[in-house]
Amino acid sequence: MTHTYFQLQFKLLNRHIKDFGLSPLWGWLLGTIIFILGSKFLFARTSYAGFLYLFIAGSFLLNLSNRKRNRFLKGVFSRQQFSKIRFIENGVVALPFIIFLLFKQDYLFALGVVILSTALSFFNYASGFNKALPTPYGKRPFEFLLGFRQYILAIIAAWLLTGIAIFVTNFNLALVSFAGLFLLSVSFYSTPEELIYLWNFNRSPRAFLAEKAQTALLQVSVLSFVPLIALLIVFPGKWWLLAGIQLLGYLYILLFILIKYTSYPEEINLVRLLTFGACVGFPPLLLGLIPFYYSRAAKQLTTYLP
Amino acid sequence: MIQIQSLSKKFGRHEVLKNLNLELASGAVHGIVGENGAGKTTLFNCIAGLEPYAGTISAAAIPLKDVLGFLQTEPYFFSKITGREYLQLLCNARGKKLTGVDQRNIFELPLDEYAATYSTGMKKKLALMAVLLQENEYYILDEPFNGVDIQSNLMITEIIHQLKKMGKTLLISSHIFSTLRDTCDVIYLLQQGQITKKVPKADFELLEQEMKQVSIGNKIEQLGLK
Repeated sequence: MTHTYFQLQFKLLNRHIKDFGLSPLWGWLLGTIIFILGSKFLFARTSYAGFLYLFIAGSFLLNLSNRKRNRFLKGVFSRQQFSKIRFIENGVVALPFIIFLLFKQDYLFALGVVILSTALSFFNYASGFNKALPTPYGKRPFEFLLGFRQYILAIIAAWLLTGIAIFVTNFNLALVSFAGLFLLSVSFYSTPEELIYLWNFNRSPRAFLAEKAQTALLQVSVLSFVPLIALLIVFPGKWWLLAGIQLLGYLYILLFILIKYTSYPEEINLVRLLTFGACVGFPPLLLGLIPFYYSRAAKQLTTYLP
Repeated sequence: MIQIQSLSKKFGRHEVLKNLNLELASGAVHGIVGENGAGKTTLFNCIAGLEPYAGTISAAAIPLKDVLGFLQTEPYFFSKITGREYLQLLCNARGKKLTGVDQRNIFELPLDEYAATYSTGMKKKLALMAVLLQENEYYILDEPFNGVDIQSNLMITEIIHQLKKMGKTLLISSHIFSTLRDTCDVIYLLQQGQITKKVPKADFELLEQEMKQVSIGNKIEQLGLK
């Protein structure tokens, strides 16, 4: 019975990869490469990578601890089978992190991931708290409001890291955590909304995109304001670098919004994601890609906003 | 007025709407009845411009979608949006300022809780409230009475009467015939993608009898209940 469950989960994962426009084999291969390169990058850039790694593994594992999901599993499987499933699936998710940490000879953190994975297999959390988390985005609710609530732990972690960077006067860590806030903000725009939400807007495509951009820039400024001011006070000589990151952050969010609506109502495909990735690696591309995707997005939206 | 001429819609090979013609007079409440799968929701989606179609749909207001409030059968809510924020979002989308929302919360919804945690009826009421706050000229209400309690049912009926008095144009579908009888000026029967009958208010009783006859017939006997 549990065997069938894992077969089904594997099938579902492969379907997600296919929806992304990749064959499952390529998806797994690419995923592995991205995981290894990302991990190497993280460990090369900061001495706090072990803690970050624990946090990242924990957030993946927490996704499996959703109460609704587990209530469903408990209803379908016997108690023994349920415990087995939870233990195995947490182990599968934690395994790549453990292997990499063992490879890095970070035995303490590897043990930490094992303990975290085992402990979380007994833990369920309710995602449907009735009391809403307050946000500063209520006047113009949408991507930032939803993203702020969904990624609140990651946002707190980025703020905390900025605090640690200030405390230990480590500017590199400060840059990583500050840039992380913008990357998180970009991810708020990763999923296309239901058509009915877009349909409700009575703007022309260009006016709609302008409003989206204006809202995003205003709302990301709110998110990054306190860390930016704190960093400017502690590292006044690096103001130009901080201002550069802030400006690039704005441009990346803008580009991602345009890519999202160029793809709408489909998910952003791999080619466009890679284009965005290339832009992150080589920022001058932004100058050409922003106008390009602006005209593509405006054209795409005319179907829905005549 | 909304005029629909030769409207056809296919999903693959399956033709859901077949050369449908319909005229929705302004300031009136129009009902649509039909079996599951008859094409009611597809018709609504086409009128709203949410689906591409063949044929023409013309209205006095251009574009129609900017003055149309569309209540879907199963309104969709993001998992982390509160009722109040949902209302704000939909009003912002139409450039309407949202004011006095607590006073206007006639369904007594817990607006500061996540909408996704609402019951089916509460979700319906929230979505209805949003399209009402948008102050539209036209309304499409797909199953507005679905899942709501009896008090809200009465309230929605009164809202529809009020909208009609204000000269708004409404198109409603419902599987509860009595709700259509209480609210509509005319009912259209949609069968296999076509409007097969237009029934004025005076003949609603006859339509109900006829529908009972066609839908039920001797099927209960066929069931062989013992």
